[in-house]
Amino acid sequence: MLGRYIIQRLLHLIPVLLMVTIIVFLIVHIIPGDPILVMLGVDPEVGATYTEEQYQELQKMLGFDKPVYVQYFRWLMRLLDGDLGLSLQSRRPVMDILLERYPATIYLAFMAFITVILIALPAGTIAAVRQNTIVDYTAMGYAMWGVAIPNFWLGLMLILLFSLKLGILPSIGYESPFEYPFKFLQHVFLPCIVLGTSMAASVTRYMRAEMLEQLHQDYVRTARAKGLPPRMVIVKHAAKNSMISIVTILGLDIARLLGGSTIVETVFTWPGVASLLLEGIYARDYPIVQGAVLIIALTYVAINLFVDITYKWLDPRIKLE
Amino acid sequence: MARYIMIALTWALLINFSIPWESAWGEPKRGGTLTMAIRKDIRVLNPLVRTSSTDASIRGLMFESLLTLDEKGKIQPNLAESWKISPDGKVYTFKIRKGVKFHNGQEMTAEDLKFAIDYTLNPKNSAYGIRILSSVKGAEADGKYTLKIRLKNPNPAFLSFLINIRAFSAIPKGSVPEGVRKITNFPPGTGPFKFVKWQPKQRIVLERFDGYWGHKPYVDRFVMRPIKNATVRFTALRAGDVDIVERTSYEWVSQVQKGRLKGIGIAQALYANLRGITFNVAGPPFNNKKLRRAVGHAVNKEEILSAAFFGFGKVDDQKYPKGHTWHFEGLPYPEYNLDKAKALLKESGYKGESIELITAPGDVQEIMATVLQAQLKRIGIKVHLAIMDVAAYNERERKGQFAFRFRGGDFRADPYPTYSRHLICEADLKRRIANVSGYCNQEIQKLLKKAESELNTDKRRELFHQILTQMAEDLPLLWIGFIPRFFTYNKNVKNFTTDADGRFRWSGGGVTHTWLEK
Repeated sequence: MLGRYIIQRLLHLIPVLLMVTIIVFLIVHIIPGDPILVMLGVDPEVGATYTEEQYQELQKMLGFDKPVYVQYFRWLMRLLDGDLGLSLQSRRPVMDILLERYPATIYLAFMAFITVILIALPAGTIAAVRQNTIVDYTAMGYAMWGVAIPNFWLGLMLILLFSLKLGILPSIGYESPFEYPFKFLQHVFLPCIVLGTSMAASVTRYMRAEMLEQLHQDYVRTARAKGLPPRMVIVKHAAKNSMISIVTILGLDIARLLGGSTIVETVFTWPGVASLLLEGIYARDYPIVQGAVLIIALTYVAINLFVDITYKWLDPRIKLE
Repeated sequence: MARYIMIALTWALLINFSIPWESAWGEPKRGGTLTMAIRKDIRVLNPLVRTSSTDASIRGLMFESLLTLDEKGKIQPNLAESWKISPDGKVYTFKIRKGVKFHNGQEMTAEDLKFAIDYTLNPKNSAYGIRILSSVKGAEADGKYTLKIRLKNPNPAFLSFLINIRAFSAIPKGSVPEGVRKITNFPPGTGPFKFVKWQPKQRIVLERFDGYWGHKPYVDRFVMRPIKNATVRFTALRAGDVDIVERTSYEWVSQVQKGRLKGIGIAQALYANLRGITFNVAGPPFNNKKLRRAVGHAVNKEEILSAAFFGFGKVDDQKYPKGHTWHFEGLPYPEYNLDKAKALLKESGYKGESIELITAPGDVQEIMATVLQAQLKRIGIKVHLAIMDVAAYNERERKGQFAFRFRGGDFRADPYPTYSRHLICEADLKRRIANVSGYCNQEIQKLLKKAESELNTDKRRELFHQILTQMAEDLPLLWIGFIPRFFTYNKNVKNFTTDADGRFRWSGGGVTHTWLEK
C-alpha cells in the first residue's frame, strides 16, 4: 500500500520537475545579460579584452546561437543521460559542483531544523499550557523578535559577540562533519542559530495556537477527567495531535532552509547551494542555475513526500492514496 | 632605448607609493601559514584564461611572465634573461633562463613558451591575452633556450606587454587542452608558490615551491579565503580567522587611520582603479557634444570621491595620474563651472527629457550614481538610474543600449594600449568590444596608426598630445579620478607590501616577502 503510494507520488514528480525546469530555463534566458561576456572575464572595473572572433567561437561552441527551445531540448537530452552539463564560468561539470555544495546545505539545514525543533516545540507547548502568564508573554515576545530580526544583522552581531569579543567561535567558513566533526560543530553553530531563530519563532506561534486548540478539545477534557497525569495529557495527547499541522509547516520550512539561506551563507561564507544559485544567476551561468534549481526542487518534493507519510504515522485514520 | 627609459620613469613614479606602515620589521622568520581573505573566488583553473583583477593576482603567485619591472620601474629579465630586437623592429629574440623548473620538476624551455603564445592566440581558447598579443604574428623555438616572437608591425610598446602574466605565462607544453574544456587542476607553473588545492568558495591553498629560481617565500603555505562581502571580510580579520584582507572597505580604512581600531596595518595600492563616465556618443542624447560638455562642467569630482570613497580618491582627468610621463597638462577638459554648464545645456537644445544612467550594483557605484544624479539636477538635467548586475550591464554596453554609465579602468605602461581601446572605431556598433562609447574620429585613427609604430619618443609624445587634446575636446569619456585600494593586516603579519595596482606579489615584495611573527 505504502510502496504503491510512493511509486505513484514519484510518477507525479516527473511533470512537476519538467515544468520547473522549463519555467526556470525560460526565466534565466529572458532576463537580460550575456553569459559569454562573463565567461570572457569582462569586468566593469577593468573593461573588455576579447576579440569578436573569440566571442563568436564561444557562442557557437556553447550553442547560444540556437533558439531557446533547441537549447532546452539539448539540455534535457543530456539530463536524461545523467549529464547536467558544464558550468559556463568554471567549465567544470555541474554535477561535481552540486555534489560539492549540496552536502553543506543539507548539513546546515539539518542542524537548523534540529534547532527549530528544540526551541519551537517546547516553547510553543509551554506557552499554550501557561497561557497569559509571564512564560507565555516571554515566548510570544521571542516569537515576535525572531520573526522581525533581519538575518544579516543577527549574523553579524553574533560574529561580533562570539568571534570578536569572546573569541570562542570562528567567524567564517565550513568544515566537513565527517572529516572534522568538532570543527564542523564550531562552524555550524552561529549559522544554525541565525537560521533556526527566525524559523523557530514562527513555528513557536503555530505550535502555541495548535496546542491551545487541542487543549480545549473534548478528548483532552476526558483524558484529564479519567485522571491521566497532566504531562501525559499534554505530551501524548494534545502535542501529538498538534503535530499534524506543525509537520506541514516544518516540511515547508525545510524547503525554505534549502533555497532561502542565501543571506546566512553569505554572512558566514558557507559554501551551500543557495549561494551557488545566486552566483549562477548573477553570472547567467545557465547550467548551474538549472542544476541548482533541480536539486532544490527534488529535495523539496522528497521532503513533502516524507511529510505526507508522516501524517499516516501521526494519525492512522489518514489514508494515503 | 629611450622608450624603455620612459616606461621605467613612469613605473618608478607609481611603484614607490607602496610604503609599509612600519619601517623596522626585524629579522624575517620562516614557516607558517599566511591566510588572506579575497574578494572573489577563482573560477577557471587555466592560467591563460581570466588573467585580470583578483584572478591575475592569484595566478601571479604561481605563474610568471617573460619580463618584469624592478622597483624603479625598469624592465628587467624574468623568465627571459636577455633579448634582442631586429633592426626592422619586427623580430624579438629572447634568451630563456636556464634551469628554471616547473612545479612538476620539469625544466622550462622555449617550446613551452611557444605553446603558451600559440594557445593564447587561438580564439577557440578564450584566452585573455589574445588582444594584448594582437600584434604578434607567431612564435618559434630556436633550440631549448631561444624564443623568437615575430610581430606583424614594429611595436615600440611590445616589451611592456610582457612584463606581467596578462598576456601569457609559462606552462609546460600540452598541459592545457584546446578549447573550452574541463581543467581539473592548474598546470604546473614556474612561480614561487605551487598549487595544492582549491575547495570552491572555501579556500585556495598554495605551497612554497622549494625549487623556485628566485626569492623563495618565507611562509610555508599561503591560503586564500574567498569572502565576497567587505564587512564580513574585515570582521574575519578582526576575529583572527584571516591575517590579511584584500580590498578593505573605505569606511574601515578610515576607522583604522583615525586610530579607532588598533593593531591593524594598512598597505595601499594608490592607483588600483580609475573611475570615469562613458557617454554613448553614437546615439541620442549624448551624440550631442554640447550636452556632453555641459555634463562635464556640471560634475563636481571632489564631491563624488568624498561621498563614495571617504575622500580617499585623487581627482584627475586622464588615465595617467599627475606627474606621470604620459600625463599632459592643459588638455581642454571641462572644468567645474555651473554657469558654463547651464549655457552649454541651453545651446545643446536639451528639452528636459530623462536620461538613463546605468550602473553596476554595489555601495560605491550606487553612491557615485546618486551623487551624479543630484549634480546634474542642479543644471536641470533629469537622470534616472538603472542599477543592474554585471551580466546585464556588460550586455547593454556591448549592444550600445545606454546613454551614459560609470566604469572603472586601468592604465598600462604604454599609452597605446591604454588609450587605443577607447579610440579605435568599433566595426559594429551593435557589438562593441572595447570602445564602448562608440566614439569614432577619423583624424584620431590616423594619429593612432602613426603612434603605434613610432619609435621616437618625442614624436610619439607629440602624437599622443594631439590625440588626447582631440579626445578632451570631443569628450566621449570623462575621467573622475584614481581610487586607491587597501589591504589591511593583523600585527602578526610582517613586511607585507603591494604595488600601485594592488597585486599580491610584485617585484618589490608582496606575500613572497611577508613573514609571520608567531
